[in-house]
Amino acid sequence: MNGHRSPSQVSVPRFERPSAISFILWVLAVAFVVWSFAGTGLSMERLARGIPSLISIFQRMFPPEIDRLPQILWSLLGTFQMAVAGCVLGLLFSFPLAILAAEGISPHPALRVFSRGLIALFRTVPDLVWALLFVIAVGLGPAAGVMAIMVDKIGFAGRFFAEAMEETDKGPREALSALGASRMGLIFSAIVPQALPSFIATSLFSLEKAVRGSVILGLVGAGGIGVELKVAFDLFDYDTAATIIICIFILVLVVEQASNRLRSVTIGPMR
Amino acid sequence: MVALIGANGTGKSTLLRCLVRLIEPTAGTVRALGLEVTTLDRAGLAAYRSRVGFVFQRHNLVPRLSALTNVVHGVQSRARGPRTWLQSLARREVREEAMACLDSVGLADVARQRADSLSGGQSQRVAIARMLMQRPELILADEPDASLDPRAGEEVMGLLNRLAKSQKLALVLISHHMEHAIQFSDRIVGLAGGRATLDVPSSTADPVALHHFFHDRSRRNERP
Repeated sequence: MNGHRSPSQVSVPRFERPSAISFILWVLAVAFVVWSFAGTGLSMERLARGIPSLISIFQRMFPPEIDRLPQILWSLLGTFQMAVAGCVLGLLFSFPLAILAAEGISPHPALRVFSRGLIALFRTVPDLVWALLFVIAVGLGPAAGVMAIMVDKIGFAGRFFAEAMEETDKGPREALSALGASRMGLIFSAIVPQALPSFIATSLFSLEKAVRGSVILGLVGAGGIGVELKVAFDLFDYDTAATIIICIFILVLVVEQASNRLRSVTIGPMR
Repeated sequence: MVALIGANGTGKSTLLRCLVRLIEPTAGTVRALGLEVTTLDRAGLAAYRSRVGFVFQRHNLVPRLSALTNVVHGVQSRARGPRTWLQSLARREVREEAMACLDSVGLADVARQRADSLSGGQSQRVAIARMLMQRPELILADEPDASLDPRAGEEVMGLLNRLAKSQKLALVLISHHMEHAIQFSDRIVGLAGGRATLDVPSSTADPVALHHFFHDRSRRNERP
């Protein structure tokens, strides 16, 4: 034996001992979670008391009422149209804003900071709040819903479009820059083709998100099927509410499936 | 035709990039094609760059686009707008010229193939076709043979040499292959510590002496 231990004899602790600061942070985090449960007044007793009411509502939901199905489907179509219109407008506005916000692509640092700030504002304020604002501004109805979805999608897509452009390989950009191409040439020849798969994925996710979001917007008067749902619940008309929920479920499912299919078809070759 | 040689870190690529201001020189001046390059404004720099063809080590093609579209992009040195972005939008004469450029590098048959489906040697030749589409007066080639296997590397260097000769273009190339430097240039300039310390005609250059120059400088650069 030469005194050296073989690797199998070297003892390595299974876990690292946390530092005092990280230990305190962990304890604080756990304490905050416990405090959050206490603060919301959530208890097993209340949950148990709620279960019979929930069962009663479900019992009154079935069988779903289909007499008003044509009207519900018409309203659902309106909701889908609202989602599509808001989403397309949002995507159209988010693209130039994303160019201004993207690092290394934006023409001026001040413009970049301003665009980033605008995108952050649109993204962080929930679409329901935007809907409330637009209902006040343009009145009850789908127009307010379209505008709320548009602003929300600018925040969502603007961020992801900008990040997709920033992450593109800089080599092609450098090559075109070296031959004297214009800024627009660099963007549309070198950056957009590389970022296109990400653009398509983000756009389709935006549409899915817009369809889901558009259902809720009706609750604050921004048009669509949400209004029908709110009225049904307000009138304790749970069997009609069940029909509306099933229709919403089918619409969201169809849009998600179509979106998945479109994604796999369109993120293909580009020549 | 000038070959720049030298160990890593001696400033060969920096020099080439300074010539088109992809790196802004911090001191001194750059004069090329009768212009004081360092003092050019934005428009002047774009006009100057359009006259200089640059071949990169990593070819820098747009991967999702076809070879033909990548070559069409070369026309952006003298034209603007959506018709320069994709081959499908390009004017007929631009498409024809791009096809002729692809043909001159022997790749007319891969025009519709995506750039990311091409081999390293083919990609570099498409990049050279893009550079020809520019109609340059001067070619700068930054180790065009670096990422290629020996055969493809030699083919690319031979192609650049032939094109420069046939179109009477000045060519400045960087290579770590001494045989390529001797075979495909008229003059060899060696850099060390950011300065030209060797300048010999290729016809009289001794491969063994060049190897010594290269390796001595490499060792010297390694010292702290």
